[in-house]
Amino acid sequence: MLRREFNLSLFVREMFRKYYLSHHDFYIPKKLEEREFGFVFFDNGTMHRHISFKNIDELVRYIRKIIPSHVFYSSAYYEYPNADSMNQKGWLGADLIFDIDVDHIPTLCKKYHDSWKCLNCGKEGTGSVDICPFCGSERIKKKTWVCNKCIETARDETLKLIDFLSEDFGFSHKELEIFFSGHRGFHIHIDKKDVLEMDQDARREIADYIRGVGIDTDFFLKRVQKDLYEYIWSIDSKGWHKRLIRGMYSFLLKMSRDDLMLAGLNSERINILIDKLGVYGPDALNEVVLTLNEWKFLFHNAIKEEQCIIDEKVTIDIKRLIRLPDSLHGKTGLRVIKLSYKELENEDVLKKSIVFNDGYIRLYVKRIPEKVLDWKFENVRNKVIDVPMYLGIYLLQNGGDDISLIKIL
Amino acid sequence: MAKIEVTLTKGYFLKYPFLPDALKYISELGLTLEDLSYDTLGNEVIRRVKEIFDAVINSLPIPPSGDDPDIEVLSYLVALIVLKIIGDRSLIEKFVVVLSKKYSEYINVEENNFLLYLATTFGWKIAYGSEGKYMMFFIDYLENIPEYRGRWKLVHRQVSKGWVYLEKIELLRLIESGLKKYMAKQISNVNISEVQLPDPVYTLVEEISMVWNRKVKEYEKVRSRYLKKGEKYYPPCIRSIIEDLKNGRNLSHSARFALASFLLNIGMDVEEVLGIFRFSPDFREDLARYQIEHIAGLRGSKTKYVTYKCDSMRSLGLCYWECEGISHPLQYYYKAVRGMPPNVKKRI
Repeated sequence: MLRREFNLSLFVREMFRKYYLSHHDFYIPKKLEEREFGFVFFDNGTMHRHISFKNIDELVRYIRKIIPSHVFYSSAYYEYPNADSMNQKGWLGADLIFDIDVDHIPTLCKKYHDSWKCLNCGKEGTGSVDICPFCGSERIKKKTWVCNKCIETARDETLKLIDFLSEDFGFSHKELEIFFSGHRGFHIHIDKKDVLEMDQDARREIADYIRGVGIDTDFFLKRVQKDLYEYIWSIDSKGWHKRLIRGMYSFLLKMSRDDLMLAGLNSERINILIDKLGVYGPDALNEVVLTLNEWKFLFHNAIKEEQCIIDEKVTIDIKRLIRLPDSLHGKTGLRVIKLSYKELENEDVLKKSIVFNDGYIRLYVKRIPEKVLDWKFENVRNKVIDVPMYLGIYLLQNGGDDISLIKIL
Repeated sequence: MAKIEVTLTKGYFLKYPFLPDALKYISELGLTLEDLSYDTLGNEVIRRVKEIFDAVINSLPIPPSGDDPDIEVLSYLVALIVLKIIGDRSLIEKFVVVLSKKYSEYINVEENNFLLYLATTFGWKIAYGSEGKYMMFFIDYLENIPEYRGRWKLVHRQVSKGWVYLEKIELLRLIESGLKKYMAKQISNVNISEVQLPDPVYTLVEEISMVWNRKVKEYEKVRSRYLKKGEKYYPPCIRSIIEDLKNGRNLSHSARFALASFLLNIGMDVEEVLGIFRFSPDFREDLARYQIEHIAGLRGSKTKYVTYKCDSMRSLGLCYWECEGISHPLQYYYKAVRGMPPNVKKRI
């Protein structure tokens, strides 16, 4: 067992070495000398941090010598980035960072590649759950994979995030640095001077805004009769005032009268609203009065339509270590890549991030999910398969006992 | 953005001695601290500084100034020096709170242009929009709002292209909080060491420091009466975490932190907190002890951590309640112990 893992990590490390030695134009973080770096090594999997470099050449030399499985750098700038304790580093500021991770977004493809096991009752299933549907325990062991559908979902969510950042917060597309993480998601970094000194509270408030957290109906409704309220903002207003009305509208367009009835919205008022939607468009929402509960139902769904699911912890943390662009993700072997807005919109992100394009690899597979990266497997059990190198590396790294290497072709 | 021009007379310096123009005017007079200490002007200044601190420390309104702007600006300057030397964070906080309240009374009746001038003095990006509204850059807005909820919560604001739209009354509130930060910054920027102090100023520092220490001891005596009360005084968020723990649920990292830091802050020691964490299904004494000692400030960074605020608890998904008038779990606890438990509503 130990022997197999040892060989695997040696093999992957060799592949990483080839990449790091042949790759040249490494991404250079702004003020590199003020950043802390962290590396995970292949041999023991532990993180070595509190390391700093004077320039990109020094960093690249280090990476080529060590050949790490993961490379991270701090979103923060420090006076002494290599000080051993966070308190001694002398925090000078931090980029504003957003993280979109498909792990947090419900997707249909998860049932084709993810599985879970309850550590409490022992039951298993496919897809992704947080609570065991059989015994209610939260002690769940998950096995997750990423496929191109996941990446597409995360990409769409990232476009939504960019809409918030430009429409509401006024950042131009040029001020946003967009990265694919080499695994399940995307990062956006902003290093504009204005944002660097923002404290955690201010960053949290931005994250709450983007996630649509804390919206209180009081600020959007006015009582016009006993128990009946109207929505007081028009589609021409700004911020969530506009987003709510837009979100309610797109939600209602997707719903039939029957759907709404099933959801418990069966009043004459809702019928009137639906009739008016056809005539007035979103303005119809300013033409009706509804009960508080009806509005709350619509708000809830409007927020779901409009919100962007970011991992708020990443945005709030002002001392976070994040993946270095152009480094390889140790779990997938994919490259962390920088994308322009156009590339994010139009290009095949997965293809761009594949480094190990050459050769094939023969594996013995006990079990394998139906979809992995851009491949489909149908009913593959206890079989020998040949797959391209990039896929083979991911399968081996993430497959545990289910997948083993036979030979490199 | 166009530069905002305001002509300031000496009358403004009397009202607003913190203004950079006021301090510049005084420095142009070429007075040194030495000069201050030995003549009648000096005596007047020292008397005024004492008067200000007496009001600050005892939470009383500041007595009105005389009609000499020189004395008022100099007193302000000496007060900054005194604060810098004593270096006590709570005293500085008290000072800026009381003084910003006083200045705000004048600011509230000022014209538009002066408000914009003040805002730009604080370094804010701000503009006068249409329909009587002000537009403020969102980062300046976020750094100065009194709380992250209710009308101030960003989801409840008109926000577009980086600008947050404000009513005049809201801008005034933000200016008050901006002023506090501005004064705190002035204090931290004071560059002086004790050696440079002439005797009368040195005596003044000692005197104020003594009065303040006496007050702090009084506060602590009162505080000790509130420590380590029963679970029924805990806010609903903390009670719910304890319940989860007792029901054998695995707690998230942030829930553990919230609970441990809360218990430590109401006076429990590490052993007592460990006792509560023992209910945890995956309890490991060595790990738990390490974490709790860290939060208590006995390890690592040696900082004693304070519990998350309500805003943070909400973002972390640990709070599902509205506790009337409460912005921090510890505030709930102190109120409850005083026999005034806040009204609690469950949020949708």
